[in-house]
Amino acid sequence: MQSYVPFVMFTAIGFAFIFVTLLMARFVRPSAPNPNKQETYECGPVPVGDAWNQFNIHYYLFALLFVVFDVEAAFLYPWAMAFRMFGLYAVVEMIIFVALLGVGLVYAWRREALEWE
Amino acid sequence: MNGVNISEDLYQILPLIVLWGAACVILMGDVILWKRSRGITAFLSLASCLVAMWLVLQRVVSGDNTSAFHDSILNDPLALITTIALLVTASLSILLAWSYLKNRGMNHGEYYVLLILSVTGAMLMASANDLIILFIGLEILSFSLYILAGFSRNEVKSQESSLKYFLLGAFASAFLLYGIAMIYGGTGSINFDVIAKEIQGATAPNPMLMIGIALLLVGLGFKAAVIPFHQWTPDVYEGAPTSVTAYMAGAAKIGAFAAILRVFNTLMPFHEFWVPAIYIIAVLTMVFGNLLAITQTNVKRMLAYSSIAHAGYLLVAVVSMVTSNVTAHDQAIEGALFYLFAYIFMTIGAFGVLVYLSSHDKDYQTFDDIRGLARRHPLPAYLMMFFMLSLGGIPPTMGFVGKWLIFIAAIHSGQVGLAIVMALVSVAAVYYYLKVVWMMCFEAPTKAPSDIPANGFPALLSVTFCAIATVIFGVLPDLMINITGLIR
Repeated sequence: MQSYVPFVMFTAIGFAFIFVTLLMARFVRPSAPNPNKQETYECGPVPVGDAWNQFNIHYYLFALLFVVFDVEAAFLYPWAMAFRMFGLYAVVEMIIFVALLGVGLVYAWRREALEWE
Repeated sequence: MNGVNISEDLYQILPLIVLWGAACVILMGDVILWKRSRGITAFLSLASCLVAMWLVLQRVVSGDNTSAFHDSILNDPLALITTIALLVTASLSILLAWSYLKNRGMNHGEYYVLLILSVTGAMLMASANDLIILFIGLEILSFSLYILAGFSRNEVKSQESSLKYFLLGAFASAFLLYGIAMIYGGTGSINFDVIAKEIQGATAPNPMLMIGIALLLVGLGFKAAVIPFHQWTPDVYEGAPTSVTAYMAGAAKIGAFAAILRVFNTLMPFHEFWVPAIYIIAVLTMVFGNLLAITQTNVKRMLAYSSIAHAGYLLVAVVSMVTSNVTAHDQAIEGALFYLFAYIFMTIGAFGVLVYLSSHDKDYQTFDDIRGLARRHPLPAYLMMFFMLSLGGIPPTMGFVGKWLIFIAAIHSGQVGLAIVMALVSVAAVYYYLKVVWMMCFEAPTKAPSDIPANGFPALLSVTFCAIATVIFGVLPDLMINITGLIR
């Protein structure tokens, strides 16, 4: 349990920092309310419409397929760094892994998830 | 990690590799080669389950009992026996689904692939010898079940059940994962053998380990559907397609109890801490599971509460494991394993009758649907009667023998109080099981008997197999006890 003392202290200081800064800002800052300050800030332009609009459900599929490649890249990098140590075994492992991700991609393709209707 | 033992390691998980490979090949074949004929998909899935079962049985016969992947996977008799139960569940469910999916307009090949993948998850849970493998297995099982629960895409109820299961399941997984982290913090290991050694000599319980065990109990209790973590069960069981419910009721419970048995066997030196918790949960589960089942008017909901009650009986076996008497300890595990087999045959059978009766315009669910069934469809009605008698624990069925084994184990390990509660609630349970029999046999049908049963031969085969198993292992329990006795 001794080794957790720095962790507890770090957490406590982290929380305290938020409240201390907010409290300090409240006393130091000038108060000048203005209706323009309530607007959504979007790089200068005046916002159009509501933020709660509907997105096409197809984006969900693309996001899901993106994960296939994302995971692949995330694992390929450490693999490339270490594969000299493991040799042929690592190559075979990675081929299997990429093939499994390929199965997911082929499935999405054949089930016409890539077509934009 | 120099590749020397890798082939031996892979040999140890060969049944899993067969199923994973089969799932990929079948999925690819289903979308590329045989596009419209799901029969091939179903047949290949069934075949791969049977091949995996053959490999496991071979291992049981040879008495092979080794660990793999640096002790993270252990194929001991407990794991092998639960794996057999899981593969039986999967095979029976594939047979059930065959015509049901066609009739209900959801004949997609993904069903079988997801079913195979989820059974590998439960198998991994059964043979996990470390907490991370346990978690991975649980997630593989759960993810597939979340999708399967929502498989009937045009029914709002099915969607609701899927979403409910997913949200609550993700919450429970978080509990489990947090518990694993706490146990790792408390003992410095995730491996069950090392944890057991670590807590063997400990005198005062370590608070971090205690929190970890409690959180682990919540996570596993959710999957096993024990009170007070049961709220999702009736809704999910009711909303999911009936063939999925049959599978889910079997596989999720076996996987969860395989894990519970192993985890709490490992944590035996700490029994003073966790036994009271499981004791209370077991009593609550048995009493309220049965009482709530009485008021139901939907067969699927009633069976959902009954599955909760059965989880309570299994928890009695878990508590009975804690004893200095070695024979009683083994008896408790044996009883639990026997009960798991009894449970899958009766539950899959009971849901299977509903699956068999459902046609494209009628999904059998409510008590009104089965009223007067014996006159309209005698065969499924009488098969249903066997399952109800077995679920109620009436001899000469498997349900009776299973209950009796757990009862004896509880008495031998000194848990007389639990044994009494179990006997009392079993009597109450008979009421609602026999009510179904009464309605089927002695009440007049509420509607004109115009509906034609879906003539699904595979479903009938599966249900008949369950019925024969409940009776044969009820009359000759030694056949099954020979298998479950391997854990000694």
